[in-house]
Formats: sequence, structure tokens, C-alpha cells
Amino acid sequence: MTAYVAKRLLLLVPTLLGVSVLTFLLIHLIPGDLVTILLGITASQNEQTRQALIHSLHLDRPLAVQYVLWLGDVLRGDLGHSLVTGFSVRDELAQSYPVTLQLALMAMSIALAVGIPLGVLAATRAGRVLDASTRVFSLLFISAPAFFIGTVVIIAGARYAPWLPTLGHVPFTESPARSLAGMLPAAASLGLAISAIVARFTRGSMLEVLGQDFVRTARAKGVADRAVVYKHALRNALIPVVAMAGTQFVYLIGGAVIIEEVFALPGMGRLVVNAIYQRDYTTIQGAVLLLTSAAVLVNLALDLLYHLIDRRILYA
Amino acid sequence: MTDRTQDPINSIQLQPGHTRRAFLGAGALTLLGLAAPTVHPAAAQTPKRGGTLVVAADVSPPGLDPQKSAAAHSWMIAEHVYSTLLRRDPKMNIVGDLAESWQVVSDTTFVFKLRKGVRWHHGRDLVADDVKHSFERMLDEKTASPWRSNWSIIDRIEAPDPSTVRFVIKRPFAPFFSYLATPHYGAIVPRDIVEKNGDLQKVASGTGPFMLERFVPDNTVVLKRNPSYYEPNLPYLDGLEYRIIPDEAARLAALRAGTVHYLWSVDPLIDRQLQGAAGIVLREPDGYCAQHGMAFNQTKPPFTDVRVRRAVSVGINRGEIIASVLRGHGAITTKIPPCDAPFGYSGDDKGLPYYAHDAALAKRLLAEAGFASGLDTSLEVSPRFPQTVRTGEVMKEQLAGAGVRVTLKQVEWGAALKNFVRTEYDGMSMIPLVWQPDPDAHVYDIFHSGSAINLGKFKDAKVDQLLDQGRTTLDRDKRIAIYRELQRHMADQAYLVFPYASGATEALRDTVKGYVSLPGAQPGSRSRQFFKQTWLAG
Repeated sequence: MTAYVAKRLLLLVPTLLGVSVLTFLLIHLIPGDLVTILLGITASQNEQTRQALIHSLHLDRPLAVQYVLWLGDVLRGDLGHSLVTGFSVRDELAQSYPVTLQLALMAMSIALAVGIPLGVLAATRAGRVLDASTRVFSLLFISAPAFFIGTVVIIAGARYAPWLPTLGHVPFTESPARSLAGMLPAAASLGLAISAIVARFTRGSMLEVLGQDFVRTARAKGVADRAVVYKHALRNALIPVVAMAGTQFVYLIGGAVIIEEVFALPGMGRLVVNAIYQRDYTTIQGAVLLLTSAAVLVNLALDLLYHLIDRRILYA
Repeated sequence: MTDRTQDPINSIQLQPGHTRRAFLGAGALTLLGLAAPTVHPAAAQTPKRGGTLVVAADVSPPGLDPQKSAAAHSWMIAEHVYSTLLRRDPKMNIVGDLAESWQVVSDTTFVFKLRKGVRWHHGRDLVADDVKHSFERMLDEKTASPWRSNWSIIDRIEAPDPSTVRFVIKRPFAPFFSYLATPHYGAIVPRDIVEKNGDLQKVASGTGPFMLERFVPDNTVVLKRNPSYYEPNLPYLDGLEYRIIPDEAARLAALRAGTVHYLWSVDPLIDRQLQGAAGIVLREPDGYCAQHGMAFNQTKPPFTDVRVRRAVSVGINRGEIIASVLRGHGAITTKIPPCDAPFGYSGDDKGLPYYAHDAALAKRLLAEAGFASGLDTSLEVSPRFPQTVRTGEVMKEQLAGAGVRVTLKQVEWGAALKNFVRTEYDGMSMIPLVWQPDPDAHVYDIFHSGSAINLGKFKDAKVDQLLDQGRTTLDRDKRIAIYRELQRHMADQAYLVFPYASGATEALRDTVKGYVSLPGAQPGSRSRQFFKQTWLAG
């Protein structure tokens, strides 16, 4: 087990290298140029000013040299400074990532807390009213994009509950209660959409498991219906649900751009998208490194989670 | 006080030996308050101290250093934090700010006396050396300031004593005082804070009405009242908060809910969206200062031919574009917008050559140029600005009727801006342009044949000559005549097409009193430096 984890962690190194080379090349392929964006229309006419800026940002060096310079700094633990604002990239990530993580965790909690019970209920009452209404709920939230749900939440909030904080962000460390309350509408908009998928997955998986021999055996032994469903069936039915939710979670920790934009949350999604708009190469590079590491680690954690759910799944 | 009757932009007559006192004291302030072209009759009420005005801003400032950031969203904060030597009053007259008085020693030498007892937000007294350092910092290549070329006219700055600053410029330069009065060009920054922090992107200490309390990128900028601001009793507000809300629907919802007090919108349809909303006051633009500009690639045919350019200019129907895209909230313009009249053109489309719509003339011109069966070309626009795309769509339809078949190309903003500035598009390209603090600033760099950002890469000796005259002529009436001639000549040659000038509609909660906005290069083409006189009722 330890050897397995160590091996997976070691694999992180070539993954990060590969991803960083790829991002570096890709962002330099995008047409448009940082210096024009930085200087604006009027100022970019002055060739001297242009050249001074280009030189101060090392943009006059060959790409390979720029990459090696950057990599050298990263290996020394320095992610560099944003080319646009001059802020330390590490500080920017340290500010944005907690927001995204909090949003992802809250959205996922809502998705699982709503989705799994709904799925189980629908499966145990397959074909009945509750099953049908669950299906309508799922269809609604799967079809409606999160930004639409988000906008409806904001407008309805402004109209019917103006005291409700819907916009802006209070850091968790500043006031946990206000932070959680402030992010609830955004997390609900994201979480409900995912809960719809979770509910459908859970229902399907449960129906399959409920039809299996060991469930019939358990029932035949006289195990209470509740125990059959929640102790025997659900545990087995959860594996595909966890796999699916895990993938969703990996997406979420990459930053939910649109929801962050709609709810004015200063998370990773907005940081990265703005950095791409402005060709802020160092910020993009730093963010991609962080996001890749996070994705690899979450995937590893998920693999280990399977083992916790089903001890028969072992890693060597 | 004769200057109150004078005109915007360049009210100061640069006559040698002429000394002027700036507005000072409570009397002048009352005057400013009454002169406010505000929608609230309540401005006459007694202002109330206290409260924080919350502004919904669309974009986070990329940094706060007015001497390093070329972004308008940086200046929207800096204009409250920093002071300038001179500033504009609500009627756009140039008056003193940090300068108590000044003397025009010669066409190239100006001496400013600083106001006494002004203190930085961090407690130190303002001294002449700070002023000297501020300009030297922008001129220093290492700062990479976007305003370096604007100030390259400066030969030297001297600070003979702590309250006297002497500027010597290389040759007569008419825009000099306008630039000094422009918040982002002329902000005076403290030497010690710059030296301690390297730059002012994340920290700030000025002499302005508000002090920076907190800046969280992509989230909020919180400013609090400067208790020792040099204008007595100002500001009325305890603080200003810029909440960054990128989504327009969310900004409007926040205004409805009352969690923000003020927002600007360039979308002319905002009045429909806010119709019937209780407690919200809409403010039509006071003047049209922002423009759209379309450039032709004149490095190759067909746009090297003046007849083809003229065909496009008369092929579009400016009035119809204003009526449809802007719902009437716009005006005919050249690069110098109508809000800068009399420098800017402020008449209808009959007053300039090749401005009035005439599809038959367009076809005739095209035929003469050898395109009897019509012309195929492209127009680049960026979806970052939906209004530009809508304008492009209407122009495409109009031009089709004049024999010009346009392919609309939507290009990501970073690329579109670079292509536009460097003339790296195929046929035509259009972007939104912003207000500039002087007619010279509007046109010199983008029209002069020697400039790297000449839009479309056209060369015209007459244009160059007029530009140079406009820059060095100090007599205001002669200057007006020069820019009038320039605009007429530019229209006649159709080097660029300006479909319209527009403005931002502002929306406020009705508790906001005493609000005045001026033309500015800040977001929405408005400067909001008079938030210091704004107050909250109830």
C-alpha cells in the first residue's frame, strides 16, 4: 500500500513536467500579445517603452530559455510574479485556491447529501410517484446549465430575500459562518446540478445491486429491509457513484469559471481565465501546476477511497 | 474667477508672466456643489456625514499603481486615493489641486506653489521632492510606465524649496496642463512608500480624499475616509467600496436588492432592465465621450484607394446605427468626441464630408475604383464587447446595400487589440476607443505617420503638419481651428470611420445624493472623483 502511494506520488513529477511544457508551448501559441494588452492602445506606440517592458519581462529571450528560467525558479520554490500585476503568483494562488476548494467541497457535500438519498429512495420505490418526481428533478437540473440556475437564484434572492448575501466573498478564516452562508447560493447552484447526476447514478446502481443474489440471500435470512438497503446494497452500489462523483470533484477543484463569474467569487476559475485573457504567462503556469497536482492527488485519494468502501479492492 | 466661463480641455492660456490662483476654501466648494449637473434636486439639501457607498464594478483592477497600470480599472481606484497638481472641476475647467498657485514663466517653464499642510495618508507632509520624484519615476525606463512617452517632453524638474516645483519642458506643448490634471497621468505618489515597496500595485498612500484599506483582487477594494483631507469637511462618506461583480445580471440584481448603491453600464438597454425598479435612479450619459473606431488596412489594396474608403464611409448609416444599436443614446463623432466641443465635432452627419449615408454614391465610388460588381472584405470585432459585434452586424447589412460584402470575423480581445493597433488584420477592424484628456492625446499617436500605432498605416503630410501645429500652438482659438481642420480633412480622406460616440448609463439608489461625474478615461468613460462630495441619505 505504502509502496503504491509512493509510486503514484513519484509519477507526479513527470506528469507536472509534461503538463508545464505543454502549457508553456500552448499559451505562447495563442495569438495576441501581452505587451500591447499591458500598455493599452496609447502607450504601446512608444517603441522605447515597449522594448523596456519586453526586456524587463524577459520576453525577448528564446522560448526555451524562458522556460528554463521559469523552471529554475519553480525548483527553488519560486513561482514568480504575475506579468500583469507584479503580484507574487504564490500569493495569488494562496488567495484563490481556498475559495475554489471551499466551493468544491460545499457543492460536493450538497450534491451527495441530496443526490444519494434521492437515488436510494427512487430505487426502492422504483416506478412509483417518488421515483418519477426524482426523475423530473434530475432532468431539470441536468438540463439547466449551472449559470442559469445561478442567475435565477441571484435574481430571486434580490427580489424576495434582499437580506440574503448572494454576492461577494468573505474568506473562511475571517468568519466561517458568514463565509459558508455567503457561498451557499453558489454552492447550491453547482451542487444541485451535480446532485441530479448523483441521484440518477445511485438509482441505477442500487437497482442493479438490489437484484443481485446476495441481497436476495440477505432478505431470505430475514435481515430487516432497512438493513438490506443501507448496509448491504448501498455500500456495494456506491462504488460507481464515488467514481463518478470523484470525476466531478476533479472538475470542481479546477475552478468553476462560470459560477465564480456569476456569483463574483474570487476563485481559481476566474484567476486562470483572466490570466489567459491577459496572456499572463507566469500566473497561468503556476495555476496549471497547482491544478495538475491537485487533480493527481484527488485521483489518488479516490483510489484509496475505493479500498475503504470495499476492502477486497487492494493496491500493490 | 474668470476661468469658470472658459472652455474645457485647455482653459489655461499659457501667457508668460501670468499668475493664477486656484479655487480655495469653502466658497469655491459650494460653487462646485451648485454647478453639479445632477439629476437629484436634493443636492441642495444639507449633506449628511457617514456611510459607505458601495459600487458594483465589472472588472478587478490589475493593480493600483497609477504610474504602472494602463488599465482604466486601476484609475477608477487611484483617482480617489491620489491627488494631482491640477484637476478638473465639474465644468471641466482646469483648477488647482495640490498646486495652490502657479506661474507661467515662459512657454516652456512653469512654477507651481504647493498647498500648505497637505499630508500623505501615512502621516508625512507632502513636499516638492515627492512631485519631482513622481515625474522622474514615470520617466525612468526601469519603471516601464505606460505614461513615459506622455512626459518625455519634460526637460527637467526642480524642487528649489519644499513647496515649490519648477518644470522646464523641451518645447512648447499645449496638452501639458491637461495632462497634469488627468488622474492617471498626473498622480503624485510618495517617494518613501514607492522605495519601501518597489511599486504601488498592492499598497497605496496618497493625499486624496480616500485611503486604501483593503484590496483583494477579484473580490473587493475598500477605501476609507481620509480624516485629514485638505478640503474641509470632505469627503462626506466614511468609505467607498468597489465590489467586483463580473456578471451584469448579478450587478443589476445587487442594485435592486440595495446591496450596492451605484453602477455604470455601457449597455443602452439597461433602462429596460431596470424599468419600474423601486428606489433606483437612472442617469443618462451627460455627454458622449467614448467612441467606436474602424480602421482600414492601408498597407495594401483596396483601402489604399480613397474612393473605396469613402464608399465605406457613406455606405454606413450612422444615424440608423445610433438609433438601433444605441437606442438613440449616441452622437455623430470624429476621434475628438462631442463632449470635448468646441475641439470635438458636435453636429449631425451633414456637417462633415462623406458622413451622410448615400448608398448610390458608395456604388458610384466603388465603380470608379474598379469594383463595379462590388467588393468583398472582412471586419474584425471582438466578442468581449457585444456592442461592437452588434455595431458590426448592422454595418455589414448597411454596407451590403452599398456594394460592400463584409465577412464579420470575431476575434478574441487580446488578439483583436494587437491586430488593430499594429494593422495586422486583413480588411477592416473595429474596437471601442476611450476618452482622452486632450485633443492632442486623442489623435496624435494614432494619426501621425511616424507613430508605430498609426491606425491603418496611412501617411498624410497634411495630417502630420496639423497634428504638430495642434500640439505646439498655445492660443486656444487657433488650436480649435487647427483641430477643426484636422477633423474635416480626416473625414474627407476617410482614413478611419467613427460610427458613433456613446456614453455609459449610470444607475444609483435614490439614497445617493450629490453625485457628479465628469468625462474621464475611467470605466464607462466617466471620472467619479467627485464621490468625495457624494453622500447617503437615510
